[in-house]
Amino acid sequence: MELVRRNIPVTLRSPVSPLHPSVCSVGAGGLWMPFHCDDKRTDRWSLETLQELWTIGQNPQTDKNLVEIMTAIVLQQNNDGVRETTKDTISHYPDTNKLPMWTRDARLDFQQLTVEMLSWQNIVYKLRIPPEDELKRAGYYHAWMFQTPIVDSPNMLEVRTVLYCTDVCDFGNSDGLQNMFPPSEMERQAATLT
Amino acid sequence: MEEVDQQPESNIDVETGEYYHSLEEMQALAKILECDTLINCTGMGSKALVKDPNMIGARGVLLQLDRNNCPRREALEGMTKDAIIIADSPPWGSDTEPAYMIPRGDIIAVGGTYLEGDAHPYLRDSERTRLLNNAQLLGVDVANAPVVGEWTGFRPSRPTVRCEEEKSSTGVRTIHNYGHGGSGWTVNVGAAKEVANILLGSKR
Repeated sequence: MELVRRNIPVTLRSPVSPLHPSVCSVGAGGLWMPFHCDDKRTDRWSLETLQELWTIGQNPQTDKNLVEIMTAIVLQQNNDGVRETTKDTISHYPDTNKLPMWTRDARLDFQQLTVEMLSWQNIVYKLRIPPEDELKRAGYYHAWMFQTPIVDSPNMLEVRTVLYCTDVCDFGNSDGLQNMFPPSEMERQAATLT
Repeated sequence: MEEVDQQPESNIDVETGEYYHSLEEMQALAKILECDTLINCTGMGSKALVKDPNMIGARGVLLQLDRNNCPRREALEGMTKDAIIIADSPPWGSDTEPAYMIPRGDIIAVGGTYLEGDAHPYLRDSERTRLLNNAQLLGVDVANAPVVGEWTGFRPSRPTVRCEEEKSSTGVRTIHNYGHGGSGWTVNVGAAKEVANILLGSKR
């Protein structure tokens, strides 16, 4: 789609549709959080992707099923030397240099908390997470808390395919796509994305 | 590669049913289709297609619960908002067997594993048991929460992502974009921009 956005003609070939069970992306949890992607360009790529997902997630009128912005909690036994920070204090502490670069993006509202602090905040947020005493009994005394996009992977793949096809090609000439997405369904999906 | 001013003509078939066996075969097809550039986004397929020994599948498993009918344990009574929960350190999880719960669309995905080189295609009984236990630990009333699906997938893992142009003598420019590990949804837009910049000769 990036090439299409830049007005480059594209020929796309795939043996199976993006929704085929053999495609890893369909089943993925869809969580935005750099994970096992070791490349010096990962930080830049992830923030560029965050920009796009955040925009979709903030615009539920048009893309309500595609991206949901949600609170993430990562449980930790210790804080690895990073003192507790909230979104109001995070920029004041040099300890935050020990955190991954992506945690500094302001949209994420990243916080390093004790589970007590998490519990206090949850009086307001009412997140469905295990209570403080259970976490402590298990040995989890600290947590990361941040906002992040969740991609509804199957819906995103379907809508991207439809959008791509309706934007750049005459889908009436593509038997495979007609079988996958009947024209009425394609038109309905495309209309929700304009 | 020439940029065009008007809507580009494109040619799309995402259900060809045809599998390729080598990069050369893909380059030959690109020529037939009158493409001057081939972009290889085949993920795990690159292990065989370009004979990349660094590619390894990192097996992930999930249970899928019905998000709209997923009661929580009594200890969570009064809590009303879904959240993602991850424990990738003991005792609930580890690097290779993280415990996590991700509400996504109509399901709650309960994981998981990150097992490099494990090619087993389905959930093992022991894994199913562990995932149900993870769900219970993370707040679900498992006895009353219907499981609506299972998933096993293989993350296209590589020591570094391969996003670069490969010199080709075939007359078809070749750019690789694979090996994003467990971060496909996290980096896909940025990696696509990188490919476009390589294609158009932009420097960053």
